[in-house]
Amino acid sequence: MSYAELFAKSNFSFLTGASHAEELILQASELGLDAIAITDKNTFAGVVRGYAAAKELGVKYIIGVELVFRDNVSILAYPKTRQGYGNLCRLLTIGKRRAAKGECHLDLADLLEWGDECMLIIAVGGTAKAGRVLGERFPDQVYIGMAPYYDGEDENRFAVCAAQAKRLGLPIVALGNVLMHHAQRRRLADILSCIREKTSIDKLGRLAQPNAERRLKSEFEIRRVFKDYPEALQNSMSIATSCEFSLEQLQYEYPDEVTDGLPPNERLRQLTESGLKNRYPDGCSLKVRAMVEKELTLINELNYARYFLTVYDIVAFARSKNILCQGRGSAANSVVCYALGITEASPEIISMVFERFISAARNEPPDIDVDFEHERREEVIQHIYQKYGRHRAGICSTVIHFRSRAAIHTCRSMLVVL
Amino acid sequence: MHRVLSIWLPQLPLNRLERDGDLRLQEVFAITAEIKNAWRITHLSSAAYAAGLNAGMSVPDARAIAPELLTEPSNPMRDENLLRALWRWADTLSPWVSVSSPDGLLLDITGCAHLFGGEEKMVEHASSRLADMQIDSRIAIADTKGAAWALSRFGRDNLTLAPNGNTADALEGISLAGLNLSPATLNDLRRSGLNTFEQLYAIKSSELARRFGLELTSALAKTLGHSIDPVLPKSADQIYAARMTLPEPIGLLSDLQEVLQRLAESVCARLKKRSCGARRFHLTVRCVDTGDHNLIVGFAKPCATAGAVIQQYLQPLDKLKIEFGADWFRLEAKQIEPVQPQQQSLVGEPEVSDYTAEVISTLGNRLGFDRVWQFVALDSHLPEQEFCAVEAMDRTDQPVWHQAPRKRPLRLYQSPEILHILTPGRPPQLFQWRRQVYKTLQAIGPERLTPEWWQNKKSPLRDYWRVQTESGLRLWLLNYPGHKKSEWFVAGRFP
Repeated sequence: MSYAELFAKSNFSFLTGASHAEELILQASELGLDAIAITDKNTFAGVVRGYAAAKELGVKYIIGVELVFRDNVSILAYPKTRQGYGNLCRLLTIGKRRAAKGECHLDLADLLEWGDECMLIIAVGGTAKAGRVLGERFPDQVYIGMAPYYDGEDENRFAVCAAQAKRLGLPIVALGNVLMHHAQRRRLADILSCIREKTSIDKLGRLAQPNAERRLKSEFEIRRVFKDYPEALQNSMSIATSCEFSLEQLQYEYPDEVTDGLPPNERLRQLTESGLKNRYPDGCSLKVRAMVEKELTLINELNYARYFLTVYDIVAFARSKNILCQGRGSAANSVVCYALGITEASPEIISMVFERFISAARNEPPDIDVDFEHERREEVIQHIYQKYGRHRAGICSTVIHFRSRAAIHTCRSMLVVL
Repeated sequence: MHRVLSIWLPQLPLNRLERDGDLRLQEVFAITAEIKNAWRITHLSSAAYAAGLNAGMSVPDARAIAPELLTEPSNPMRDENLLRALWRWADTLSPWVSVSSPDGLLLDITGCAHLFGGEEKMVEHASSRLADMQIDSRIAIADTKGAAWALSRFGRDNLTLAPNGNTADALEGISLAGLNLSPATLNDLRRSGLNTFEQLYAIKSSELARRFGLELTSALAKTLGHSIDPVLPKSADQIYAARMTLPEPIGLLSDLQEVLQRLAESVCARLKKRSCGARRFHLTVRCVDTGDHNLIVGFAKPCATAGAVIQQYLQPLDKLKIEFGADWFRLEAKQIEPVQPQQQSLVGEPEVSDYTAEVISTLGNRLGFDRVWQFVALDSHLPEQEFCAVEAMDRTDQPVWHQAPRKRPLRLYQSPEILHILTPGRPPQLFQWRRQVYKTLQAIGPERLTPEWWQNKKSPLRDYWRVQTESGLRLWLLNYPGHKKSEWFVAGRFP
């Protein structure tokens, strides 16, 4: 028998989780857990970090998310397949677009629509109703989670959960309810609670952690907590094995609008040739010709033609509207970019190696940074929306986080240090 | 034309200490305050000046110059109190006095000066009276508030009289700091080379406004008397008191009650008018032979009902020994607090559902308010920190008791009592406590509590168990899991 931790919050559950995803994965690997899922509140933002760390350490990593509904019911969802992951991303997008920034408004009806190809665990609250509805809609996908709170009432809580699961005919599963990877992080968890509740540590009262038990636990420790429910532990493993989705299955999908009816490679070659004619009206040197051939071959090989065409399309639009734009960075090493008019510096005068831009060994598309005149950037954005559709274009967001100076300053006020 | 007198008390904090007989003033001594995260000198003794120190210096710098420096942090509250006392005193000069915090007074003396024999005599009178009180002062009279303020602070002499109707000339050579502008504007002016009043006269007001903002031009217009800037007197705290003098002394309890009734009705009517109530009443009874007797009653809630006041005075009045009678009475309400008006019932007497405040008042007046205590809820996981007792009088509202999120015993032992374990277990299967043997039937737990790490107190990790014994007693058992010796304690018992 073995155990997979399916309910752990990282610091991407803002001001709640007290450990980095990497720390959780490292600790899980040291404790010898068979698998771990990081389930942040209404976000997949932490999955990449967790995935990268798990890949390095060889821990089985399950993509998951904690869906917190408007009526405070909390359901854990784990995509089984690529389709399931897409469904959950859609679900979160719908919820976030309904609400103000930083919030997510979800209802059970949304999950009924988008919950296919996922494993679901009803973690907190509303077990009866959610269990009945979801159990009917998604047979063999729904579990009742038993999450300990380490407050002396867990035995009663588990008994209630088990009875309810029996009545609903659903299996039970053990959850760790993890907030931190190590007991030492309790202090940090309390400080985060202070920041969240906008109070200071001496006024935090019962919102503080009563103990440091909500840490990542070894199989031995967790077995003691769930000593009366061995099948709950067993089920955690069966969920872990049925979730086969991994971030590796995600592929870049480039738009088809830009090929002008031709195969993308031909279209790119055509544009490059005409671009070269503009750049070198007297015909280009053999060296440049050789570089172009080399690049086009590599682009064909790695199937990046549509990506280049997309960037070309945006730059061409900006040029046609007289919006200033300029490609920069490693893209300046590429003759193709120069020919397409994305960059302005001739690659002959730049001595950097082309492999810094694209190489077959790197296995990820090159990044072409294009800067636009900030006052007219909106026009470019609107063009993209119009051409590719609003539902297929988005603005990248970043997660800002504390730097040491702000962190020390905030802690100081929470700890009421004068 | 108005005339305004400005009194500046440059050494107010030092004067306060001097009046208290502080001997450090003879030595190198300074008052300090925290300004922008640094302790700086605000006022200093003459010996400190002689040692080469200056106001505005940081304390470490000053210590480097004069290591023998003695300092005291400023106490704005006590300075304010002294200033308010002086404000009351200034009534002798003019009835129209306002406080200009932190260290000045402004008086509208229009039509008052002749009572002192002219402005010159008036200023001398004020200055010498303040000197009698050991308070240093600089005084100026001018047509406007701003001019008087500036002349008292930045004038050449300690006593300045600006001629009537010629404020602009009187201000010639006075620093622009006298306009009481924000530091940023003043700095701007200094950078432009504008330092004194007469430099501004030559510049058009519109140009000044464009360059330095309306703050400067409006201050200048007020100071020169082009726009109105009246002295606004600060009103005194309202006193709620009533007094009664009788032609013949009285001594019967019923007579005393009758007097009290009239006094209380008068005071309470005024309190009610302002929607206020008093937490304390002082009754002074002047007996013809034994002098004044002060009777004080307190209230847990602000009170403005004559009946309640009389009710609380019944016992103190009864105890009061009056042999030859009393002929002078005064009732004063203190600790005035606002009262929220309450919904009255439409018919009959208003319903009072909560008598706690009255019980506290009555008990407090009988036994002393330091003996009436009340439990209040605190917010903590640790059982002994979930409540505390405070003096009931200190509370204005009823304590709110939320349902504790965890089950807690009704009876909590102040120090947990150790068990004698007969059959070990977790928790013990069979144990002896208070000379009786108990057998564990059912145990729920553990509830683990860690100490509050931000407290300095070192306390160990605890595990609590709810234990149902065979005899029916339900106990709260405690164990310290980190300890080598596995000892168990009874922390409390459930009903």
